[in-house]
Amino acid sequence: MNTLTKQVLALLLTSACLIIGPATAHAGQDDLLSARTTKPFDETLSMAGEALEKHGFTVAHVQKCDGGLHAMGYETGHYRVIFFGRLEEVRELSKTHPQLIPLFPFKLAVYADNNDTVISVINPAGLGNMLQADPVLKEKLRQWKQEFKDVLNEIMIQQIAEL
Amino acid sequence: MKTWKILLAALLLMPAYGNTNSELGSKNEPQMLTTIHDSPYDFDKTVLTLREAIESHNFRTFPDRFLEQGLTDEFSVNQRQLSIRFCNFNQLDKALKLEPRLGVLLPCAITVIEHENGEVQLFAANISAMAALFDNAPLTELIGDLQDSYDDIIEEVTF
Repeated sequence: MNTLTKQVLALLLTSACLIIGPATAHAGQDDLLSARTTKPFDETLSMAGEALEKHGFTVAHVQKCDGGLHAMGYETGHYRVIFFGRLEEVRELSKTHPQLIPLFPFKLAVYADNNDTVISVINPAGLGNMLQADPVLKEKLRQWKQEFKDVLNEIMIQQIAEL
Repeated sequence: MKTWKILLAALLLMPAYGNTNSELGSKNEPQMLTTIHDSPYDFDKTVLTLREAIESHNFRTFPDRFLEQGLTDEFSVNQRQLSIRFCNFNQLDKALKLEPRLGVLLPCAITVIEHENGEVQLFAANISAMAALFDNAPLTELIGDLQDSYDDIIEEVTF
């Protein structure tokens, strides 16, 4: 791919994300972290799993929501949920902060939206009040938020690097 | 060549997350995200009763999963921490059409935990509070019905 083509593609991609980004992160923008790629669904799903593991998370399993819906007669595009976490955090925090248990393992939604693939994950730092977080938990929530952002960044940067 | 990629990455990543000014402290009187309930039964009977209550409310149950399952080997998993996962596909279909990002909270689940002292508790998400994260009125209404089912199920198990 020559330089001019790359630049044109980059411009188009940037324009698309500048338009779409705020739309997918409207009123609840503080509570969810989302990224949109032009990569095919399967490739993005694979990249998401790799990015999570690169950042020290374990992928517990992947739920095929689309498969379940199709089997029940509903039409839907590709939709998977990646369950992930760290064993030591689940073990420790489910004892010290049991209010986190329903959040474990964390969920990363990966779904097709027209020709794009969207990845969304909850922003843990936005849940502090709802979890009655003490300072220790607030810090952990902030840490997870940064790590989740890093995972999304990783996927986006990988997309750009492949242009 | 690398410079334009870095600039492009910065541009791309800016809109994806929004600002975070309202985190940790600005929401008025937030609902609690989790509800915790003591079970009158032992672990096995709690799980059995819970599964029956879920199915009686027209939900389909998925295969049970231990809380730590997939995060460690099968021999190290704490088998007294079990999540009963369930779904009403009709509601799920409607909910995903209203808010495709809802997958970050899926599926419905209630976790049964036996503590070291033998006490058994049920842990459930307050899904009404979770739905509020999306600021989507039709979704909030739909989830309200689901919350009623959650409440009924837990009451049936813990009454």
